[in-house]
Amino acid sequence: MHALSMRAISKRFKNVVANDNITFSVRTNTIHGLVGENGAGKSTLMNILYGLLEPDEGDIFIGDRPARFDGPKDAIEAGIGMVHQHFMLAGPLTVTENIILGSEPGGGLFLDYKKARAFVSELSERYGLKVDPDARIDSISVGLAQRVEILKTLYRGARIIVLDEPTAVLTPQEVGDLLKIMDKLRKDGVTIVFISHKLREVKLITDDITVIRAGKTIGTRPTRDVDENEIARMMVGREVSFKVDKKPAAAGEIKISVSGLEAFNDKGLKCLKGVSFDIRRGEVFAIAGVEGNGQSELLDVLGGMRKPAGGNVKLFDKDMKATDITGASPYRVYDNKVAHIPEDRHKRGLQLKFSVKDNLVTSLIHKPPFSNALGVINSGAINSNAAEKIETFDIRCGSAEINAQNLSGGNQQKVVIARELSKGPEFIIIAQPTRGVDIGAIEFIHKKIIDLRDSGVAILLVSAELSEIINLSDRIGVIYNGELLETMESKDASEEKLGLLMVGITGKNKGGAQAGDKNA
Amino acid sequence: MIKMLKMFKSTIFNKFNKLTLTALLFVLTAAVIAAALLLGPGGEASAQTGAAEKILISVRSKITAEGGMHREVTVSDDAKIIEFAKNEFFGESYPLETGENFVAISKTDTGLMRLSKDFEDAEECAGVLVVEKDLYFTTRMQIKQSVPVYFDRNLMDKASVRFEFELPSSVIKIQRDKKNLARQFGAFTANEFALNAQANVDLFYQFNNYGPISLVIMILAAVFGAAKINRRFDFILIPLLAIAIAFIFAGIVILAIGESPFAALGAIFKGAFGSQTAALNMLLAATPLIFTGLAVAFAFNCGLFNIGGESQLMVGAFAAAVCGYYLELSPYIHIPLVILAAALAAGFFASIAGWLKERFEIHEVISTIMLNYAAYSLLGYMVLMPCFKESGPNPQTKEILSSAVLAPFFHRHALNYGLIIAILAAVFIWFLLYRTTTGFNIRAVGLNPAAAEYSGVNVSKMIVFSMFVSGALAGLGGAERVMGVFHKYNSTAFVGYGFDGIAVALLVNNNPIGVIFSAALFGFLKTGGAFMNREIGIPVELVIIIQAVIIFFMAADKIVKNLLKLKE
Repeated sequence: MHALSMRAISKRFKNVVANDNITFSVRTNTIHGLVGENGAGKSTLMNILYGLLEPDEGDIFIGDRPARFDGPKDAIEAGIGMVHQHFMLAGPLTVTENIILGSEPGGGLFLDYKKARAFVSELSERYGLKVDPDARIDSISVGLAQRVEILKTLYRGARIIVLDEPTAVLTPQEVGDLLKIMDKLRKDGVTIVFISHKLREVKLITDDITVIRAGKTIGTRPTRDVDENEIARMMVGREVSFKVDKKPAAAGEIKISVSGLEAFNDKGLKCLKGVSFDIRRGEVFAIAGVEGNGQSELLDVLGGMRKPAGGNVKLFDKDMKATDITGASPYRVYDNKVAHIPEDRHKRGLQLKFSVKDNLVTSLIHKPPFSNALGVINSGAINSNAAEKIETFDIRCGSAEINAQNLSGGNQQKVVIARELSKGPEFIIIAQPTRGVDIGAIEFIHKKIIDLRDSGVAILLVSAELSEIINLSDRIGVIYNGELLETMESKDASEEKLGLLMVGITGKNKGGAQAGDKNA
Repeated sequence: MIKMLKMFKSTIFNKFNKLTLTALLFVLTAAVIAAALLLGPGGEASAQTGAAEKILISVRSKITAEGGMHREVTVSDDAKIIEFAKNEFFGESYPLETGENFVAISKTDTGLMRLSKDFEDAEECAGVLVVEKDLYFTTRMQIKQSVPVYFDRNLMDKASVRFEFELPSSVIKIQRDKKNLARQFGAFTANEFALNAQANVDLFYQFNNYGPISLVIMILAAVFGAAKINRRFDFILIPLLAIAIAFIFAGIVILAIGESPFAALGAIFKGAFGSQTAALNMLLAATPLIFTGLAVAFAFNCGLFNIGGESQLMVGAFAAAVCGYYLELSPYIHIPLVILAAALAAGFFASIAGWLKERFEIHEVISTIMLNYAAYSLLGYMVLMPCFKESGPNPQTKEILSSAVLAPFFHRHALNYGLIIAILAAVFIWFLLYRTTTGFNIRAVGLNPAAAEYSGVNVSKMIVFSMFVSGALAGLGGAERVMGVFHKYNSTAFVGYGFDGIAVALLVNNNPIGVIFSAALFGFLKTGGAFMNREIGIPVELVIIIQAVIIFFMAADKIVKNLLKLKE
């Protein structure tokens, strides 16, 4: 019995075939993984299912009845709910208000808030989706906001819920909670389509997996019959290695020395409480930690975008002559052969409305050959630079004139990396290098980082992916509540060990500290 | 039922794509124009005639399309009445039976006397019935009644005057400002005549201006076609469609108030392109809008919405007026110096808003609005200070020296070299924004300040700098008005340019080169609209409706994009 089947769906945009004869069936009361690289056609397929797009060919069946959706309204009526990667919530309103928005209980002009609140409480109780119905969306964490999105679909009577990369924005703990919720929903008779890049999660929670590649269905398999490597191979179309091949580090002299660094966050709270570390040339130093423990602020301070409240940062040249860059502007930081791959490429790393070729020269534009002494831009140099970088970094963008926002996550990240590496850095800050990046590109990026290390660059790596940290780094520091708790060699690290340290449990005070609910 | 409608809708859209629909629309429009041309202007207008019981004096005036008049007055053969008629209907000031102003007097078959005369220019018809040429335009006339003050009371009671007008067929509307006169226009006694001393009669002419409209429609069609073929021209489509929709909407409004849209649009075109003076007027109106449009566009590229162009222009104008009067230099130094002073004054004034933003995070919309009021009051005070104020009752500054005057292009028209400066400024701003590192960084700050900061741009500096340049541009607009047009500063002459600049910039999506064309369009609407108001009596506010609709559709560009089925 299928809750949903989409048969022979095709959709073309101008000259691109986004979906080519895709067939996708989901058994009732299961969690169905939908995987594929960015741009494979998953989003198009789901937008067709949700009535946002009209298929050129093909039929949709809900249960065994054919369905035709002219808009999300029709899809919602047919019992389909969608939780987008970017939440569609109104910040200043409460949880309850957001859930009932658009289909409010109560007659006529008046809103029966009490009834609505009771209903929301009951709903969240039933599915174990604990949220405070009166909390403002602004004040709750990303994980809780996601629960609100799920509650919203349940409130509208969804029996089939599509979760579009729900774990990309969550901390490891929140991911665990979400998987539990999904399990509970399944037990309650809800059918879930789960879209994710994280194959481990897909393998863990789903019953079936459908792989899409380049607009075509590659196959649907029961999850127990396939392993992660096989899924990856189906997605990419070739063998993918998750293991990073690297030689032991040939660490040289100290390149950067951070000592006693202190800083305040945007809320005015002290978020760095004396962080100290050194990184040598040809070494990857990674910082692991649950998000919100000071990593972002540390990156901002090192990159020159946040003024430190104490401590200092020193860079050393080959003769060990120190340059103090504490509190320097980003401009001066880059002038000292530092490059920075920021954690949020949409906010910092890219000008989304600039073309790819312009994005490849932001922060380099004032230097020759891109401009002359009078500040007049040399577009020829920009074009040839773009052509070269697109070639060497395999940036798939069609044309260098296209806006960065139209690129897939992986290609966007390649643009950032290409630009930062062209600064010829001796020290590079790399944050979340593979967040929202598809598998093929992850492999490429990891290889680049190791190449960089082997060429003698000092690297600071911050990532939420513990496997990435352990694979890529030579030494790992764990940050908790603004302090570096412990530094260890990567070969001594394991996910379990790091996981404990990340929530503040050190060897000295076992079971003592707890990861405070920072959003409470 | 709804399903069927939806099916119908989708069939229509699938069967006829947008291009076909657009083409169809143009064919229809062309057909309507052709029909209108064939049928010709229908207004065979003439003043109504009424019969009076005892007609002693009959006045027939034939007004020609060129603005002249032939008048015939028929009276009984009575020396007193003939004398009266001569005085009243041909003008006492003109010596009779001599030279050009000869009044022919002949006897009719019925034994009455006929007095007749041609006036080359209707303005000459002094006396009781005056046809005045409009001060600015030849095509509108005012027929004025004047009082026969020295009229024989005895005769006045007995006399009955009958008027007849023969008007050229292009007169489409006769408007009288006194209702009682309207009622009795055909015939009334001399007494009533005297009572209606100040009644005005306006004659409105129709312009057979289907030509320019058809031309414009053809150009529009060509551009649409080009954009359909080559996607690169997409960016022109949205403003053009917004303009087209605005004109169609205005046409509907004109129809609704009972006037002819073609006559109105014809008048607008004639007012802006009808003569050399008209075209110069249009460019003169456009010049300050180029400056203020650039000011808004430049700030917008840095993500700043500068609403203070209004006061920045005034500050620039005041600075130009003061420096233009107080410095005594050779024009080669004086002119650049005055321009520089205006730009600097306005630039620094605008920088206050930039500084408030980068230092205290006060939104520039708030601060520039507040600074507008501060400037109004401050300049209103300064203009009264003895050191600046011209002697006399008017609150205005002393006239600038001739060495600071921007030379006009043509004799007797104020259009001056400021226009060249405006166009150069637009090109310079385009170059600055798109061909220099500073512009690159400004645009980066405008789109995403966080990313710009990350890439090493000093965001605060850029904000202050952009506000400075934006204000300086508005200040240049003030300098042009003072140095080229008004030659002095007062509190009323500089109103409106700054706010129009917002619309000018919005229309072309803040593109500096586009601002030139956008300002020309607004200049066209302004001069054409004023002309239309004078010529056919349609209120000038109609032009504001057109501007408002254009801006609405530019701001709501999603609607237009949907109409055109454009992808983001």
